[in-house]
Amino acid sequence: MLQSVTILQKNVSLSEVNLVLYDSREISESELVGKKFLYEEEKDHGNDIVPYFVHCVQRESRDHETRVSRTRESWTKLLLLIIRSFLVLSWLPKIALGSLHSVLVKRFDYSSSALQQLLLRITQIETLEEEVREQKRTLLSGRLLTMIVVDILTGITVACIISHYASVNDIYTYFCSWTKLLAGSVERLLQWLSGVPAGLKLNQPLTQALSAFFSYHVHLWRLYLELADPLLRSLAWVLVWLGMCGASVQVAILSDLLDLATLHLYCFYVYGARIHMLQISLLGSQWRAFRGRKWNPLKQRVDSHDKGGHVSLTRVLTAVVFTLVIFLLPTTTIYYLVFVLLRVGLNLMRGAMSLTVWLLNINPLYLVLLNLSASNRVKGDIYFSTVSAPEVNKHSVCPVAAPLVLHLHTWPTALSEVLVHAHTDDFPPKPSPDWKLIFSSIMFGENLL
Amino acid sequence: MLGSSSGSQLAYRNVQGDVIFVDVRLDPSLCNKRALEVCVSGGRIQFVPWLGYTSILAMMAFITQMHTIHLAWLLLAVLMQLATFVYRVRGKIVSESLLVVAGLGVQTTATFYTGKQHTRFIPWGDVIDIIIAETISMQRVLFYMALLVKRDKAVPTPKLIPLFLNTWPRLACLQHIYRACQEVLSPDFKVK
Repeated sequence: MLQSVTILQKNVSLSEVNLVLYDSREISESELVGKKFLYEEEKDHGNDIVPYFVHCVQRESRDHETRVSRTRESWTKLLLLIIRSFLVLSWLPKIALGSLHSVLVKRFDYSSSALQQLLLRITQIETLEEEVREQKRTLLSGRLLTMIVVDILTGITVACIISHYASVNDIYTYFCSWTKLLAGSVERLLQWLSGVPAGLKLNQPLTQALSAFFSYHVHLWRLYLELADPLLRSLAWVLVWLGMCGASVQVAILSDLLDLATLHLYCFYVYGARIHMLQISLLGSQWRAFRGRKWNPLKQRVDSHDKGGHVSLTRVLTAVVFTLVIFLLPTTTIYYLVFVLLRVGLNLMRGAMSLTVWLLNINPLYLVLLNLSASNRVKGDIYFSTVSAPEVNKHSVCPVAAPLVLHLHTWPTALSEVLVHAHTDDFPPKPSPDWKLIFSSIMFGENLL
Repeated sequence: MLGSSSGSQLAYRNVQGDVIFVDVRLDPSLCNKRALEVCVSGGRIQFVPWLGYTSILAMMAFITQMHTIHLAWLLLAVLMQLATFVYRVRGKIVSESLLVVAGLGVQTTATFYTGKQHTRFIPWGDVIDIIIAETISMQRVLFYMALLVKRDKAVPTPKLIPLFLNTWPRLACLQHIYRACQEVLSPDFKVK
């Protein structure tokens, strides 16, 4: 029963006292509470007690920290040794891979997901080393550790299962035969297009020319595959051993191999898209010119531009070009449609694989386990509960001189908040495609998918 | 629409016309204008219509001999009905409470039918004011109570957090709560 309270040798009336009962372990062990109620030194917290209170409790617990046990120290030392040796081993490959990645991105505008994933993994291990070195058990270090361990275990399991059924040579020959099959089916597709595909009547000379052009391209691709066979065989060995680094690296390598195997389809898509864009822009400009208008790129709008009058050379030429393009449109559209559908299908597969890699990267297993075991470290929110006043006070009119009693409890934060607002250089953001851009690039062919 | 007190609980009406109960646990006038706790509870689940519908459907299914013809469909229909029932029971908010403590902060709690509680705490330094605002929805004008909260990262416009969104008390009840809140928020200012 609280009798009196004195602050700085002055007696404080009990009716102005708020008594808050709390569990100091809950607040001191939770790092999320400190982040949510941020204490800034400069701001005046006279009227806003909660951040200052959290800051004081955590500072007090830090000062009174007990020594860590011997076994935990030796475990952290062992872990640090493993991580440091890995970092030293991977220092040279990291520079090589980094430069290769930047060259690919700048020159060929191609970001290889396997290289990205490897570089990300090395960055994560570096961050982990920093955190473990400081001897703090933060949420970040726990998450990274569980994620890397789960990843490597899954990778090794998958590699063992696959090597149980087939050796590396078998896998490579299977992959080669699959690419040859793909080339054969693309040639059959082109022959089908050059005839009467799905009953549509195409412009014969144009379709024969396009089909011959694309078939020659496929023939060159086949030749290239046969020449590059021995080099790719040795590369396969390297890739399998690289896959031991984790399941996410394996999926990333698979996605890269898919890109490499369907390179000719990408080339066809680019040719088709360029022809389609040319046709669409010609159609648009000739349609406007026939009506006496012109697109003004300076002001980004359509202006009127009627120089010759109704029966002039400009008008005749416009009509001729427009008619030509309109009659050739179905043929090229069919080719473009076929290649765009193939490209979109391959992009969907690539998207699915990058989503798998992202899921493996932001493994929420650690946080879920902590949540289930009701650990204090995941608690990020606080709430107060009041103690109900005794009945006799309810009927009195004058104010009662008694302190207000509150209980402080902590509450676990939502999983999505911790996952989403985490550190972005260690955990990549969700790959979300820009649907508007995709739609416009399919319709007009200006940007490439 | 007028409040009538029965013991320590006041009975008001909510927007749909059902009766809700307002329980004032901590009155500012009794605690030196430091704290206020108001609990608004309503929203009883009505089992009788649900039982009626279920019995009618069961009789129809029995008459059409569904259990001999399409056993799988019948099971599916039963499962779907149970699933919707469980979903509605789990998501039903029975009471909402507001706790205002001067110097500490403002806390809103929503209690579900299953006993689960959902709380949100806003520290005192982030609270600007409590207001009663009106919104136009379809064919009627609704009054609701909202909390003006400072948004982080020095954005000048404050954030509006609406309160009592599931129990929807009417204006008289809102005015009663508003008067009590203003006694805590600005104890020197006299509210009419």
